[in-house]
Amino acid sequence: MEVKDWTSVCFDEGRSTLRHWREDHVRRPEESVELWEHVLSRRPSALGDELWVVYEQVCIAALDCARLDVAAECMNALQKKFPNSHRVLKLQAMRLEAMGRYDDAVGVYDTLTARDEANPSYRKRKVAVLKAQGKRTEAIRELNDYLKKFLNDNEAWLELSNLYLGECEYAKAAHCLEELILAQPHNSLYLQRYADVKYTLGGTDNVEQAKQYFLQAAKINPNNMRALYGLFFSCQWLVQKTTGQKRKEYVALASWATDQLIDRFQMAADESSAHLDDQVKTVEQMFAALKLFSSA
Amino acid sequence: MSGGSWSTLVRSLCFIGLISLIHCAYSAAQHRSYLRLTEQEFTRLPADILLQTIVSLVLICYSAAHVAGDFLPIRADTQVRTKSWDTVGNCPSFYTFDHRAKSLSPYFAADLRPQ
Repeated sequence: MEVKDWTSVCFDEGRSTLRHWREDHVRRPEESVELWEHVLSRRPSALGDELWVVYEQVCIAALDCARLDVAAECMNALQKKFPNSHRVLKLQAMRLEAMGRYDDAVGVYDTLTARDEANPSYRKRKVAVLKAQGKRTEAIRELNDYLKKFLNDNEAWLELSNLYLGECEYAKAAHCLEELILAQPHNSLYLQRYADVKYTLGGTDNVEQAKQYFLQAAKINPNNMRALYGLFFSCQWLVQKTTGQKRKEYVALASWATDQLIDRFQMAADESSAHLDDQVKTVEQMFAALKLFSSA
Repeated sequence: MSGGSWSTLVRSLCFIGLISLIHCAYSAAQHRSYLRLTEQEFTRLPADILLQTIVSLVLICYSAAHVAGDFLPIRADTQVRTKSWDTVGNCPSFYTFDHRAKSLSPYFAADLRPQ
């Protein structure tokens, strides 16, 4: 990630960068606050209707980097414009969370849920509060209850998989990632993460499945280095557990993965004149070792 | 297939198809004016013009597809490709503020004092 001085960009670039970060859920709080303070807050009226969404975004970013003054300024502006809004009340509850007043925050979320049953975001914030307090098992239980009601919330499945991974419950985390893959079958990152979890679980069946998913992820996105490395290592693991014809297949797959890796390294070296010879040599040596082992 | 001669062949086929289609249009117009001159009813075009039209249409479709180049698979993930796990793995509704950035606050040292 390149380091850029956001204080000197022009207004339009700042506005479009913030919009890009907002839409793609990029978490760069300090830079967001910098963009707001130095670039966008000079002419807030030029943002038009986007101003209120930007206020919300900057408020959350400010809470993220402990700039409670900026957060208060944004919240005051939003409160003045939308006096009885639930969304602004939710932001105030998030501010309570940032100050560590978790019980007060949970109280606000309960009131909000009572007023608006269908809005899922207040229940999700309660799960986040439990997570922040370190009560991971309760958070998992709450999130499971939530997912029984709101079945196709991808974000919640992703969060649940992360919570399970924190508890080392790999099989359940894999199940959550399966739900994500069902929703977005062409996303190579979900496939690769699922394969990572399966590889961690270990055992021939799991590593065989991991190999398949790594292969699919690498086919969809040839630049996914982690998928290529994962493919190589699963083939390496499987070669040790099998004999004969299967071994040749695994070695062939590993050879394809090695070639792809070396191609990517050479492309990257050409583009940015970086010295990636060591990486290329390492990959070649890994494959040579594998070939030696499989022919022994 | 040798690339150069195949592509010239396909391009010439496309050109021939276009000329043939224009010829069909011209002959259909001529046929109608002939019918008008001989005061006959116009019911349908003669079979040879119809056949030539259909054949030249098929020829054009086939050769144009080849001129355009190889088919590419439909990528449903063109936007997701350039993103990393840093962005795709984020769950904005579940952001917590209980992390190291608390130390950036000017009141942080005050919190460390024993209560």
